[in-house]
Amino acid sequence: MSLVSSVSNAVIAQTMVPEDSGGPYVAAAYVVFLVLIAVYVAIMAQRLGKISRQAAELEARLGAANASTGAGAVQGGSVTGAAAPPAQGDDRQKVGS
Amino acid sequence: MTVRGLRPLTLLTVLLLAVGYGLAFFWAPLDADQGFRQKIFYLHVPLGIVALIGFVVGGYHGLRHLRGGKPGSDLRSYVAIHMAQIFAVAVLITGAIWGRTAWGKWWSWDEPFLVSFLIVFLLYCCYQPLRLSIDDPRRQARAASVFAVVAGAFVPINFAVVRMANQYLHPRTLTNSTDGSMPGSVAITFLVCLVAIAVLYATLVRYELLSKSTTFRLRALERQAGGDDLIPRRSAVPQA
Repeated sequence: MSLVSSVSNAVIAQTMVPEDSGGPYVAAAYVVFLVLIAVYVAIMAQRLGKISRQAAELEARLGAANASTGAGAVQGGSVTGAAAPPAQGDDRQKVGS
Repeated sequence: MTVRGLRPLTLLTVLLLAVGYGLAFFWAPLDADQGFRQKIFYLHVPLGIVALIGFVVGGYHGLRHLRGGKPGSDLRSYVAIHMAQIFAVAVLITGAIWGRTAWGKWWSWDEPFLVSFLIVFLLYCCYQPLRLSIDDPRRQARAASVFAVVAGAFVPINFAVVRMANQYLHPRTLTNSTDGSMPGSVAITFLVCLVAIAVLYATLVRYELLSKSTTFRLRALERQAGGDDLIPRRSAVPQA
């Protein structure tokens, strides 16, 4: 008999409930679900916060560079003025390198 | 979409989950056969249904990507499948726990529903390696979309075939009303839990999409700041 189909036998009968009702297992199932979702949300929140912060910082730096040197000066170059290669550990690589 | 824009959806999710599982534990009657352990039903079955629908949604967005070639559809397909996989892991774990307490064993190879769900899960375990195996983002998106469409079509067919093959063996829970299959309070509680889990899925998908779009914005800013001759390394995540 499948687990789901056994629900078809559900009867409102508190007195007929089996003695071993599997409380720890029910708790385990819900805890597993909560932990899974909580871990996922925590990882995503941390990542989203970090990325948002970096984007805001970069936007501010670009804005400041645009204001001081003119809008076109930043295009094709780094914020500091030189076309710097990617730093070690950067997750990007140069085309053709 | 911003985090602030997602706040009402997040609050709705928390509210629905609280109401659904409040009903499950404090209102729905205990099962005469299984007793308290049947409460896992209100978590395990909605998770399973939503995971399978998530896979189909991934296929739908994959189809939209193939028809229109929009990168946004590939991203939606990726996120829908990614989230459905996480839900599927929860389904397998909660199902194993339920099986252990109800049958005395963690898994049963005799149950077609269990085995077919495992097959679907293992099928989707190939999705990320497939993406990762292709360098070119356009080719990667196209191949992933084809996979999402084919596998997404397989999900309902697989489900229907297993159901039809067992119609004389397993009484249906939701569709068979002739044998008084599910009391009203159990059915209502189950439906509320199903909606709550579906909204949870939608909320997490929205957050994941927001995370990805913020990453794309950061990369665009980095390109603007450091020159546009940088390309991202190989990744399973769709590129903007």
